[in-house]
Amino acid sequence: MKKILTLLAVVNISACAFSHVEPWERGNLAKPVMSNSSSAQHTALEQHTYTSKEATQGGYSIGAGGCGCN
Amino acid sequence: MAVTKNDKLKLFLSAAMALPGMAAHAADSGVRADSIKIDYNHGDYSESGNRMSVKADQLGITIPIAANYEIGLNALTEVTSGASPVFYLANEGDAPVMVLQAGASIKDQRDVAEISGAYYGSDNLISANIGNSQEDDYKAQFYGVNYLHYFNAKNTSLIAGYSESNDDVWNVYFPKGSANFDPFLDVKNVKSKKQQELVIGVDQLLNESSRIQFTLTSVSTSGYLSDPYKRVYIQNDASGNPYKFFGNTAPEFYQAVGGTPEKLEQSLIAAGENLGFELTPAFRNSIGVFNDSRPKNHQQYIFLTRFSHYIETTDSALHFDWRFNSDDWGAQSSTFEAQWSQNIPGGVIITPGIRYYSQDSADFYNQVFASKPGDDIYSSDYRLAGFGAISYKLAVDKTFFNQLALRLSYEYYDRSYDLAWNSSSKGSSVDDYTYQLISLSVGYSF
Repeated sequence: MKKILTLLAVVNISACAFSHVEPWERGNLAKPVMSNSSSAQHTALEQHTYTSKEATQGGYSIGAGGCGCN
Repeated sequence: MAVTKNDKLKLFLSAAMALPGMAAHAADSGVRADSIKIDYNHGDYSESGNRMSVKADQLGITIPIAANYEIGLNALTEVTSGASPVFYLANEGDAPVMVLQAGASIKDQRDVAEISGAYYGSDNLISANIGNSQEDDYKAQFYGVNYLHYFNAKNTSLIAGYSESNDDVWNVYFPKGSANFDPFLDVKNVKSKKQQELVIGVDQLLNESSRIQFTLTSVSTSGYLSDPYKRVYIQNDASGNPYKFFGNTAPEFYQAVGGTPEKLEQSLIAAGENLGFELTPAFRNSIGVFNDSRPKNHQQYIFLTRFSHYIETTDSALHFDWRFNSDDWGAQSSTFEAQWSQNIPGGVIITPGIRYYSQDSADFYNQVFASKPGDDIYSSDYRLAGFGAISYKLAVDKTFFNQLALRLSYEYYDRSYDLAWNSSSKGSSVDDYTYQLISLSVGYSF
């Protein structure tokens, strides 16, 4: 019984966590302010700078080469 | 801001935006460009204390082909100059003093050329890129492939990607291919390393105003992972006796030839090394100064969560990122970033932001070593120290006639040992510095 209640709780929480968004309802999501960055080149430069100065190697993008940055 | 044709297209497509690994334009919008677009970015980076400065210029072109394809060409040039920490010296019981060196290794130009392509299907998006990066002391050849699939009427996107970079690295004082006539110097030593990245992720629309994204990236690096210019000072030999040259320890030796206790780079030794005359390895070792020596493998797992929410009452959006890195070198890190994008009159978007980063020190890191570690693995690279950093950012965007997009951004980054989350991490405020990054982006759609 406990397992069933737990599963129901998870399903209910999941259902409440997000709702289906129809294409005509995505106006706000498509607005420029909803973009994380308007310039992919600037983002690449910014992340390359962090990678050169910190131990963590990215996580935001893949597919770029390394460098002898020190 | 007026809704453009491209904006309307986005209404009917999933929010597959800013997903890692996608070719630049695909990552930015999830919608194929409907005209040729040229992008240019200039970046100006400068560190405090007259350390390193970098000027970077990027030029890219995106070309739509047929109904579903897109190719991109991207070129980058970075010119670096200034000074960088090499190692630290200290007498027994004294605080470490940084030795800053400039010279040939910090006067460098990096050139990158890259080609990318993307296919926009009705339910998927495939992208690939291949490129080459060249410097005086580094060469990288890289490629990547990414696949994105839409589900649930494009409310959900799943992504998987793989990339690989095969790099050659060498000390510029011993150029690749040159003959070394001095028998006391290290011979030409081109080393190789390989980095492989695997990413999986999901992007989910939560409601009409919110979306969330989760990604997990595995970064595996192998080969020569040390820095050919960094050194480590080890105070005592295997018998516990201090390394000395004619009765002088390394710090005393550096000070004895013109240096000061606070600025060892004023020593004639450092001046000579700045001109390319390195101390021979045999002599360096005799005074306890050894080459940076890191493990031959490195594994990181990076978990990233990104959340964005539109606020109708203020016509603005809040973006929040959290990134956690699990690192088998011990340099775990956490990153928190928040940005507020606000529409203001005149069609301008202003985006202030703040970022906090904290990392633990690598297990084999120390500024100065009392004795050589038994496994011969050690590094004093300041980037492997424990530290925290806060960034303050501001960006301004403006688009003219739906064709010309300008973005000006500024970042002030404050790196400080005292900001580290884990106060027991190794490191010190000797390595504290700040940098400023100013970036101008221009995009033009024909």
